[in-house]
Formats: sequence, C-alpha cells, structure tokens
Amino acid sequence: MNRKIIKLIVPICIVVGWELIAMSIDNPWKLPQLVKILSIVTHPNNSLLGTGTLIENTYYSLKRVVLGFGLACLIAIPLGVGMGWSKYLGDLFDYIVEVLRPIPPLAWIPLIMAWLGLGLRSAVMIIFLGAFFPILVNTIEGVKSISKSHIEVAKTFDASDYDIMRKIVIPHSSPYIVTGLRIGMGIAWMCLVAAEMMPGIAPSGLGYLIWQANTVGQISIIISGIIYIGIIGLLIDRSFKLIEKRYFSWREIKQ
Amino acid sequence: MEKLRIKDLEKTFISEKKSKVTAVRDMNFTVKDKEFLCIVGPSGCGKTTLLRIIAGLEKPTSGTMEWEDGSDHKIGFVFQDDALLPWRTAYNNIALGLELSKMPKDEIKKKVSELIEFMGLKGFENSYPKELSGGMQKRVAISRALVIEPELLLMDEPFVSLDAQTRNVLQRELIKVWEKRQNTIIFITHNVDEAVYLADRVLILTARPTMVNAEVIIDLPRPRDRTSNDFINIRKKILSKIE
Repeated sequence: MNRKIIKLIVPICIVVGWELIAMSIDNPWKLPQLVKILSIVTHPNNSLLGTGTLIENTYYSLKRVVLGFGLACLIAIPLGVGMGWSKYLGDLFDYIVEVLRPIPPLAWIPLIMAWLGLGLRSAVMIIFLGAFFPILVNTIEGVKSISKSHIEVAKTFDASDYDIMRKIVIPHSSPYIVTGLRIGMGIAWMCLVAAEMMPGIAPSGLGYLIWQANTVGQISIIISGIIYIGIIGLLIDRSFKLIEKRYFSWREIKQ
Repeated sequence: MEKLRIKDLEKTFISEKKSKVTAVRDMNFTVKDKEFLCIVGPSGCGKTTLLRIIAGLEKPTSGTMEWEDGSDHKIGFVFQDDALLPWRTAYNNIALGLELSKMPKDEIKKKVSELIEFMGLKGFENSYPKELSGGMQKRVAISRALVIEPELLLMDEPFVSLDAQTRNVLQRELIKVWEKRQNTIIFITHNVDEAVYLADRVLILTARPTMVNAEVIIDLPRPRDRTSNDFINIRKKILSKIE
C-alpha cells in the first residue's frame, strides 16, 4: 500500500471518531463538533472573546518570539563561538552554563515577574531563556568539532585569525548553529504559550486566548488556538529544516 | 644550487606524562633547487614533525631553517588526510589559498580552471569532496597546494590511503606536475618503492630521536621502471639502511 495512505489512516480515524463521539455526546462544552472548530479556524479575522482575532493574537505571539529568540541569537552565537574556540572562555563560563542549562525556562517565571514586572519584557525574557541554551550548546559543539587539520590548511596559506574564523570556523559550525536555532525556536515557541497563560503577564497572544477561552469554557476556541500553535510551530520547524537542506546538503552526501 | 638549509634542528615535546620526548635531534640537511627529495624512515619517527616545522605549523625547539637567498618563499602543503573542506566544492577548495591572498575573482578563476584542466579534474568542479573517489580527492588536495604556485611543495605521506593502482597513477602524474611546474618537493613516505620511483634523492631517517641516517642519490631516467634491475638494487640499498 502507498505509504502516504498508511500515514493518513490514523488521522482519519481520529477525525471520524471525534465527530461520532461529539455527535453522540452532543455537548459543545465538553467536545465540540469539528465543523464548529473548523469554522473558527478558517475565519481568523473574527474577534474572539474580546481578546482580538486569531491573526492578531498570532501576531503578538510571534512578535514576542522573534524578540526573545533574536536576543538569544545575538548573545548565544558569539558567546558559543568564543567558548568553543578559546579554552579560557569555555572554562570561564562552563560551570554557570552547566548549572543553569537544565533549569526549565518556566521555573524562572516568578523571578522574572518579580524583577521585570508584567508585560512584554517578561514574556521576551522567558522566550530568551528557552532559546538561549540550545543555541549556545550547539554553537559550542560546532566550533569544538572543527578538525585541527582544517585550521592548519588555512594556516599554510598564512590566513589571519579573522580569515580562519570567516573561512573555516563559521562555515564548519553553521549547520550546528542552525540545528541549535531550530531546537531553540521550538522551545521558545513552547515557552511563549506557557508564559502567555501566566496571570497578568501579557494580555494578548495565542496562549492568552486559550486561557481566556478556558475561563469561559469555550472548548472550540481552545482547540482552535491549539491548532494555530501547532501549525505555526510546524511551519517554523519546517523552515529551519528547509534551510538545513538547502545550505548544508554537503553534510548529507555519501560517496 | 641549494634552496633550503635545515641546521641543527631539534624538537622536544612534553608528553602527557610530563616527560620530555625528543622527536627530532641534530637534523641537518639541505634541499637543492627544483629537487624532488623523498624522506623515508620508520613509522613513528619524527618525519611529519620535521615537515610541519618546515611548513611553519610548528616551531623547532632549537635550530634553524634557512632559505638560500634569505627571503621568504611560498610553501604548499599536502596533508596526509587531504583535509579538504567538506562544505566547499572541488573548485572552491582549490581556490582557498588564492581567496585568502585577496586575489581578484576573475584571476582566481583563470588559475583554478587552468589547474583543474591540468590535474584531470574537469567535470568535477562542482562536486563536494565526499562525492569524489580517493584518487580525485587527492588530486584536489594537490591542486589546492599548487594553486598558489609554491616554490616548495611539502607532501606528508599523501598516497598512503590509496590502493596500489591509484597510487601508481598519482605518482606518475605527480612527476608530470613537478616537471612542468618546476617546484622543489619534499615528499615524506614510508614506502621505499614510492621513494625510489619519485625522488632525485632519498634521505633515510633513524628512529626516534630522528636524525639523518643516510642519503641515496637516484639518477635513474624517468619514467622509471619499477621492475628494472637498477630500480630493484636501489630499493635494496635503501631497505638495508632503514633500521
């Protein structure tokens, strides 16, 4: 049987099962029919529960992610290159990174709220924390894995340190960095939604919409929000995979 | 005419157990202009260290390396493991040295294309190293070292990983390259047959700490016949001098 068809079997069963159960329960406060959810999802410009439309909330969520993620890139990539390249810098930051890295970003929420107050800054900070460590760790890993002979090749051509960085270190590490970005972005996106559910932290965004829908028991809006989060997360992940495939195909080639 | 003089070279490493290891000691020899010099010696002796010092990748503990005319010269280096950059195509790997010397793009193109043609790499310009066979990778690695037109080409057991047939082909090609480009070559190998086929002169090193044990001059006409009596006699002579 065609593999595409096999892959579709389970989703179709779930959809049909859902619809059958929803019709038999006949209670939209517990399990709304899919048509109802579909009509919300396909009308992203309708205002929902006074929190704005799905599009608007998606925009706010994305804005926070872009800010927090961008900030994480700006700090984690240079720091990672430095820590991977220089033993001294690596040792200097080693303990603090190892201690902070395993802490779930959401555990910081109370502290962040106490220090930064409510609002955009706090949301951005949580996303920053989520994205920072995967980017940092992958960048370090990339720089550290450079083969010594590749650097020596450049040295036999009298390359300066700047040239070695530009022509050897960065091209070698880029695939690792992009993998870090992809993982970091995934975690950032998860942190964001959780952060937006915190009371008072950000009165907009998909997480906030879901939480508002929860307080009024609007299951179909909750599920619509979840679908948007899922689709956008998937699109982001796919974009990074496309970049990896397009620019780093030299890694995959086998003789 | 002399080209390069290695004088009283010594290299000492500190091993992991903090003891001193002398890799090279009392090393003295000269290299003539346009000479093909092969250096053979037991494995684990300081052959590679010696070459790395000449290339400037390592500093000697004491001793000097001097060019006859006192100025600096371009040196090309072919690594044992090729060290091709996997993210660069064959063309871009070869172009690296010229890029680093800030040469204009069209000039780079001219030189690289010429070399690609000469080295039999035509049609493989856009292949990544992993897509190339061992022999082709080696050609790219040699081209990359040659493209800067070095007066001295250093080769560190470049053919050791190749099968015998490919090795013979590349040895023949290397002689052609050397005859055409007229550079001086120092070629390290532990394969005596290879040394006798390639070299004008063979230096035989001792085991660690390495110094020059003997030298054998080979004045057989090229291309050399590996099965001739002269060839075999020189082989025997060299083998008898390797510890």
